[in-house]
Amino acid sequence: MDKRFAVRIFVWAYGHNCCGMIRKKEREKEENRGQVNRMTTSGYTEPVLSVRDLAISFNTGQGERVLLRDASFEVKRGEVMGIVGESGSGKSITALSLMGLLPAGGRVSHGEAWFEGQDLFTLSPRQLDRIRGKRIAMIFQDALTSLNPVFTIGNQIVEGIRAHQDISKAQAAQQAAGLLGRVGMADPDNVLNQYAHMLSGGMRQRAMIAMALASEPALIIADEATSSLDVTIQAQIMHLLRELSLEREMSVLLITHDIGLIAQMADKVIVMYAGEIVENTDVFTLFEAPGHPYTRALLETVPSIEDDKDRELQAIPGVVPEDYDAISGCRFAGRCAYVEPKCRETRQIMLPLDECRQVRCMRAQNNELEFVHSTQCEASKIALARRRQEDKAELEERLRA
Amino acid sequence: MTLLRAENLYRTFPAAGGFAGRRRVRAVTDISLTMYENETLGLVGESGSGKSTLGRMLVGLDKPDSGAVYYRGQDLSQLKGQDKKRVRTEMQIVFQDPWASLNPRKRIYDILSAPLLYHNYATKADVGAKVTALLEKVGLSRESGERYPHEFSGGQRQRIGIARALSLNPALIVCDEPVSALDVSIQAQILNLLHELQDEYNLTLLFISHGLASIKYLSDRIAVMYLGRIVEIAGAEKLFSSTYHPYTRALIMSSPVPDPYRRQEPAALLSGEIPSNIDPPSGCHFHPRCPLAEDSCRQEIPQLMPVPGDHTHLVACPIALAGGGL
Repeated sequence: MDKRFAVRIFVWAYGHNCCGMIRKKEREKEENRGQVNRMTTSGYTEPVLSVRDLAISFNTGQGERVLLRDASFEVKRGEVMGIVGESGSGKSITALSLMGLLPAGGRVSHGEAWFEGQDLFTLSPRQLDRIRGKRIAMIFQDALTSLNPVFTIGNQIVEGIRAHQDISKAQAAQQAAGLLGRVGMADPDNVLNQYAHMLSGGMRQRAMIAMALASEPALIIADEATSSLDVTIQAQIMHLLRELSLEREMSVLLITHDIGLIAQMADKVIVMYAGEIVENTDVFTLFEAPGHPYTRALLETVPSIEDDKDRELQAIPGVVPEDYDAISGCRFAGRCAYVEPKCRETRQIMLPLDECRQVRCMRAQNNELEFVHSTQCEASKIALARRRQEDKAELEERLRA
Repeated sequence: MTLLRAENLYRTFPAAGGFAGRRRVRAVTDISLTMYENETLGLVGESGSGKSTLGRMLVGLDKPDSGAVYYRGQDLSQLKGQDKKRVRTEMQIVFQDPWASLNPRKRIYDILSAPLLYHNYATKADVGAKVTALLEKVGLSRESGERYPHEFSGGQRQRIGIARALSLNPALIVCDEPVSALDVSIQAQILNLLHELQDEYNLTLLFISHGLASIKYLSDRIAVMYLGRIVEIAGAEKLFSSTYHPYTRALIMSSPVPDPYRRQEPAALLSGEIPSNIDPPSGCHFHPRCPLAEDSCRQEIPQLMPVPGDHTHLVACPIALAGGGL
């Protein structure tokens, strides 16, 4: 009860803009403990990952195509950043480029990605190896092809643990069993000696998460990690990821096409369309006051189990353009309900609408769209902090039990 | 009016690996259900729960090991010759994968005209006009008939699949995950198209999906499957407003709601994995994951029983029935 009260006081304080004081006090407290914790209770401060002006091109045989351009975003410590978009919108290649895993023919043609003081795109393969799978871990949609079929699960996790800790195999195995237990495996000691093909889809996904956690990464990239799983299993895995990110102040880059997952999981959201980021905002603002016509249309087109019987889905007409890099103006113009001739002529750039929304739409930026109402950025911030506090309180309660 | 009735359907398949005939996957176990004319029955369940197998058996694409399907009172397995041919025209199916379900070597015109000509629904003289009408009905241009499947996007291909299913004026269409393979912004187009066509043609639809939200959007009644059995069947609104079966509850609780203010309750999440349907748990298949499970659940196989005061709402869980719905 008193914890709730504390949260409320905190929220009140935040709303009255006297959080600077709280923040300062907290920082002092932490420094006294001799341990600089970069996150304060008021949210996230320092970016773990900062991507600037990223462009990716592919050599298609018929010349080079730019599949992603002008992508800039930041992921802060302990934050879950959702990337939502349709297939071919560029969300997966964004993630793969960070890991240096672009498929043959693809290359980063422009941009920087700063992670722990280094630009990932300038690192040598050896330097990248020290980060990949260790400081940044990735979980993929297809766990079976991501696990090594000829080594036991235990083997693969122990390898990850020993890569950054100087301990014996037996000690590492003990830690590995602990990790498997933490990701919800019923019989961790047994699973250590099993091979990937012996596990069910949900268990494989858990094993992969345990492996990703083994090296205590600062950032986990989850690329459609639960799209092939059943919804009850997906809920378990996602809840687990959320808990781990809270518990370890680990950042998550969550790539999905599922708007529902974004709402439940993400703190911040990037919406991608046809190789561009079209909106960058926090999750509450995204659902309450979307700034880009595509985001708005996307929200209107998704059914929810909470819908009334007579809700009509508003379909987005047309299809995603395939040769979008040849379009000189707005890439969504062909399907947009708010299109004007000038949209097709002018290249759209990303600009802030206010403190919490950035969109790539000149009509929104010029204040010409009636649906783009002004938003209370402060209210979204409070909602975000409150949700996080509640999650945290619940996690603590669970860990105690 | 009853259009189709399935009685005690069973279907098993040989398990991959191992000796044929030894281990069998139990895809569908003891399923009985009725479909009424002009309704949409939604079939929801996790992958491997037997939804597609059931759908295929209902339209005669697959034969049950035992049990029977009656279409307008006639046993499908007893039909022969002309009768069989006629009944087959009345039941059609739209497949999940629009890339695999169209012959890549045929033009769209050929794909759509073949059934019309074979079943004498059109003559050589008027088949062109009929194909054009079908294409326009599903929102494609007349010119698209001259093109090949690879020239179309997934959503357009699914439209072609729907046009093909409509061509013989069927009474029943089974839609087996028709939107799962499509992009989010395209799914609503296809859902809305199915909705319109149903009104226009008085169609009966079996809509199979693993997503509760799209099921709820289209269906009048919903059947929930778990490991080859139906565990709950109810009117679409009822299923959500007064949920009985613990699995249905879990399914609803686990579906991510696109609203950041509405949090999923982690307490409602199921623990454990989905058991194999080669060797399903004894008694109620759901008992290892069930929060309500009692000793009796491990032994007795629960039958579908009506909810007090609502004979259209059936639940295969005596404990939930005794405890009342949500």
